[in-house]
Amino acid sequence: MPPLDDVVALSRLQFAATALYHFLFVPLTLGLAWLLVIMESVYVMTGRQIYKDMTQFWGKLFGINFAMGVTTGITMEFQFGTNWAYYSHYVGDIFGAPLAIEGLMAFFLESTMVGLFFLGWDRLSKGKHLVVTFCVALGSSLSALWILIANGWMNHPVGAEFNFDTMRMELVSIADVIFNPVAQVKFVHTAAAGYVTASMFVLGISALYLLKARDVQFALRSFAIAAAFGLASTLSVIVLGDESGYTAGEVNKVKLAAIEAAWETEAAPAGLTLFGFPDDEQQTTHYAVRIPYVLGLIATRSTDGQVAGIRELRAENEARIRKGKEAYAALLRLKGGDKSPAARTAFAAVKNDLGYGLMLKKYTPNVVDATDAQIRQAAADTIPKVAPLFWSFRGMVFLGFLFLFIFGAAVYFMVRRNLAPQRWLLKLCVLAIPLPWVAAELGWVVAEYGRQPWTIAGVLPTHLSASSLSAGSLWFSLAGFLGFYTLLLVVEMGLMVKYARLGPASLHTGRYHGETPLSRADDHAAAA
Amino acid sequence: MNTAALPRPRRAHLARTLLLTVAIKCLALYGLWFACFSHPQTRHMLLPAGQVERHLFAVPAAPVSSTKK
Repeated sequence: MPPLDDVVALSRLQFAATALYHFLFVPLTLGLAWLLVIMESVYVMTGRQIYKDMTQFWGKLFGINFAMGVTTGITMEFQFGTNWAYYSHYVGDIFGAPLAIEGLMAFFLESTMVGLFFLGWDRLSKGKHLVVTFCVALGSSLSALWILIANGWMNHPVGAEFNFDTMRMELVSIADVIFNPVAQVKFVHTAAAGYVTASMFVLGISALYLLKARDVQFALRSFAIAAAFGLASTLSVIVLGDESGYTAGEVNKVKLAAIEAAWETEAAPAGLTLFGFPDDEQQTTHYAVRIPYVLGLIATRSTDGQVAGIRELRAENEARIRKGKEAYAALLRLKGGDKSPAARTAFAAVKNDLGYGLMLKKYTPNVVDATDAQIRQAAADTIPKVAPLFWSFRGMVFLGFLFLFIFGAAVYFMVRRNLAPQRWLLKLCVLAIPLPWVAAELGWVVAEYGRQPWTIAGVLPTHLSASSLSAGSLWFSLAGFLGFYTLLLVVEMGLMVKYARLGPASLHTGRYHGETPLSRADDHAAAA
Repeated sequence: MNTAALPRPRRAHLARTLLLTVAIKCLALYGLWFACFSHPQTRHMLLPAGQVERHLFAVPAAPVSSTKK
């Protein structure tokens, strides 16, 4: 709980709350769109009506989620200008293009195609409608790509340089921003997590129908597609998560060290702390259960690469803060009117550490006079709290392997044609429906909390990014957001439960559970 | 399973519900924007360089900065 009048903490809380709420809607849209493509492709290839019914029924649930989720992300852009004025100024030259392209993708490709998806069944040929469904999936993935390019840049600000005239970061290479390795790995990891979410959603609801012995043929086919797609997606999430960890080891060493509670730099290859209780005060992990060599092998993909520990990284950051102090003094000289080549050269030599110098602003108004004690305090601030990252990461990874087990077992019993007796698995699938959302939210906590104390890693500290607002106005808008999003979530849950209970009978084709006596007889025959 | 209790919505019921929800959502978003976010400190993600300097520097620098528009 932040202090009641801490404007920076309240701005962070507001952004985190809206981002976490927004991401309750996003992953299902991302993944369900591709599941619709698969179902409709089978319909186009085989001409079997049941696959069209599957596309239309799961498309209906997709439509509910899309309608509830669309525009929930725009509130974060509201906050940029109002709550995060200095951050917004710093990133404006970089974020303009990705956010504009994302808007175009979301509104002109995704939303238009979603409309065509629902209205085009009787107006378009089978092939053309499939192209529309494919464009819905492509549009949602491309929207995510541009947002994650912007987010990736905040973690690894490449392709831009600080301009002391405009006092902001300015774009040097759009290619470097787009092909930023952090952004690319973040995109594929996030998209694959969305596919897992949608697969578990379809798998769980289909399992519910199978447990109730209703719409069995429909549920079995849905279950099979979700199980296969989910297994492939979970394997992708795990492999890409490993890639994400490797990239973090390259460019976000502090984040990696905090996630792994690596207090000291160990001899290579470092061991992995599987479990334990990290203690930020004493900088140790109590009751640690460790596996030798594993962290070093995962994080460096070598037997001789070292994983830097928190104490070493803090010492490195202290040195950078001292250079940042020089950068700050050189910038003051430039802004004071001395734009001689010597002054420019002096600033250019240390400008990459300016952000570290700005960390001192929390402790002294006059950075150039910062004391050693203040520098040490600022260096300690460059390490995020370890325990929340340690636990969030392990929660996410545990859930990832649980999904692998569920999808693996689902595929195994489907292939063996022995699913019906496995009621434990069907029940587990139903219970697991909300878990991919939990994993995704934990993933965002790891990604964003792990970037602290920066809004732009190594460039702009969080405490200097927020606007000068009153705490009262932030509490008011926070309450507005929470009320608004909670209402949306309640409406979504209500509609989802209602239409999931109805099942494919909501299509009114006369072929499904409860619609005709014949369909009930089919259910019982299939269940038997 | 007894399905008599299941509600039977009309065909266009969901579409109407979703359209109504989206319309109410847009109104609520507009209200939230109007009440809390209609006067951002940055317009088009750009502040005057002088304001950034005052924010970052303890002692405001001499007024020689330029602002790129």
